Amino acid sequence: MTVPDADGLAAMVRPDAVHRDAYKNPAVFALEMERIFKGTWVFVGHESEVANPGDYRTLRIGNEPVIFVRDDGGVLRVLVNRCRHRAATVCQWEAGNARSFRCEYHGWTYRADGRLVGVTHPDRYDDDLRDTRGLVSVAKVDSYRGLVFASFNPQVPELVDHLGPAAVEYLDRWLDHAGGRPLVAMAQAHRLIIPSNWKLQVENGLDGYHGGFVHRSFFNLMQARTGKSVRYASGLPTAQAKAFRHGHAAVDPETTSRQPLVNRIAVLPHATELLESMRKRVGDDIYEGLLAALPGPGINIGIFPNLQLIGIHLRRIEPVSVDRAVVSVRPLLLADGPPEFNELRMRYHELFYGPAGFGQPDDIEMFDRVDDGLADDTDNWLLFSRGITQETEDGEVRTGNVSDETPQRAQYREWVRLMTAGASAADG
Amino acid sequence: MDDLRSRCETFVYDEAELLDDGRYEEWLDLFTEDAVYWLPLDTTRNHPRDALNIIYDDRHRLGDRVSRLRGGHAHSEDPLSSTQHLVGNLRLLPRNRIATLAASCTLGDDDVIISGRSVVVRCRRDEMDVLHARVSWVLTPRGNTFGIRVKRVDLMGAQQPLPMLTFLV
Repeated sequence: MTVPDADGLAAMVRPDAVHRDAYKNPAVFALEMERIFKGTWVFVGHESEVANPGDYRTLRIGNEPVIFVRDDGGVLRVLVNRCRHRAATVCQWEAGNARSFRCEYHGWTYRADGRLVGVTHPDRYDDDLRDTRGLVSVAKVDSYRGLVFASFNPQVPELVDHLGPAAVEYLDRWLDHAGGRPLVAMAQAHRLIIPSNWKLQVENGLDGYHGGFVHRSFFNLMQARTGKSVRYASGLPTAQAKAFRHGHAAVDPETTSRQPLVNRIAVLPHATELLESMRKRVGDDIYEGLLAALPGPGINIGIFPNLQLIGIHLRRIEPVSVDRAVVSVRPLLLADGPPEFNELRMRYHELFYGPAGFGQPDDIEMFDRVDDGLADDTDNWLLFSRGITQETEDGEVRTGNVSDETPQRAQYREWVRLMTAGASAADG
Repeated sequence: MDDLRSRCETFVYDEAELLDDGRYEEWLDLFTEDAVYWLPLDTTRNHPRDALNIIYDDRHRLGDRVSRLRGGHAHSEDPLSSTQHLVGNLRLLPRNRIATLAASCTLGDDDVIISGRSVVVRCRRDEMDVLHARVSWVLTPRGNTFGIRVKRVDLMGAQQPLPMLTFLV
């Protein structure tokens, strides 16, 4: 397949539809890694994942292997995981704690802030390489309330401006869902293979239309177990889908009620015993508040391109190739929460999410089916027109019904902006 | 002792056959009311309750897992996976090993711990996955056979990105 120019890329997105080439063309994928994943802010993790000096986690930003690390001075860094000598990775583990990173090929050693502190047998070099050959630091690292982002592009706007006030208001609502009690990310996360293009997960996490169909078996089970009817958001007229600046978005069924989520708690293993014990520990008033907070805020938020806040977890999307991605779903617990609360939170998460959950695998099955269907080239367009003439616009915020494709249209406007901004700079 | 060992081995082979024959309800009946079906994410753990797991099912949730396969709307299992469980390297473990396998389980006087390795091949649509695991069972006498009180499956690569585990491992 050919490498599209800026006009070709822009033509892949209509106001109401996206062309299959955006999902299937490997050349488009290569441009996405450069212009989106190295062009804008990308989520790397929660600051509590690297709570102590030397704590690190390895991941990829687009194609780039990086180390997300807290240095000796407590500063959060994102370093390229590549020795400045002959390119071997310097850190082999998914997570851990290290005073330094040593390349085992020829013994070069770097501190957790990236400084090169040891070159073996340096007398055969004319210069002291330590001043110039530190690990490459990703140009920008910043965080909003514990959510850490990095960007290879030194020209990106400040993070808070990139997010914008409307997305920030939603993030605050989400992060304060336990009455402002501090949240901490679990060391463990479910990691799942997505057998399709990464953008199918981007779309789906903000899709308020699919739940009643894709997750029908889950809702049937919950109805049978709790004896309470479950009305899903897409049938609720007051629930909303929102689009913010830069492709960020939210689906907000909370405008109706979180009670159906709270009802699920009763079916969790050890629920009766744990709830009783928690009530005794914290007293009736606090207990009621905790119970309401347990299933999370009931809002899905997407920060384009690779972060979603869903249920009680942070979801990070890592593209691998044009038809493969990895998604990690990492629950947040209460930092100083009652143990019963945190145990039930984990059980609540396991119920729906992870490779053996009763919900998430059915989403991934749909991505697989879309990928199969995309073999067709008689139609070529995926339709995103739902609610397009009925959504309302207020400044930079668009609001539709929860089942509208308002979020997806915003995601693809941002996709075009990033993909063509890079192209015109390169062409010019 | 040899008799006990061979009865346990026969039991876990029969269990695998029920799964591979799609006789899920009969498989579910093997589990006791207090049973735990556990796939840890962190296979160094001895206790499922204070950790995130791939699966931590009590008997109710295990029943839900089976009924989801039968309900017709679990799209990730429509069509159903076919599986082949190969179980081997089986041996009985001393009772004190419960402390590292499932510390929350209080062994009954006649309960037995058996452990081995499994290769699970899963086939669905045009794809085939192969999983490797260490599997441990706590079996309790029930009539002239056993009931399963604990089935613990430690997947190799449990913390790596995983394909869907919507079938019964």
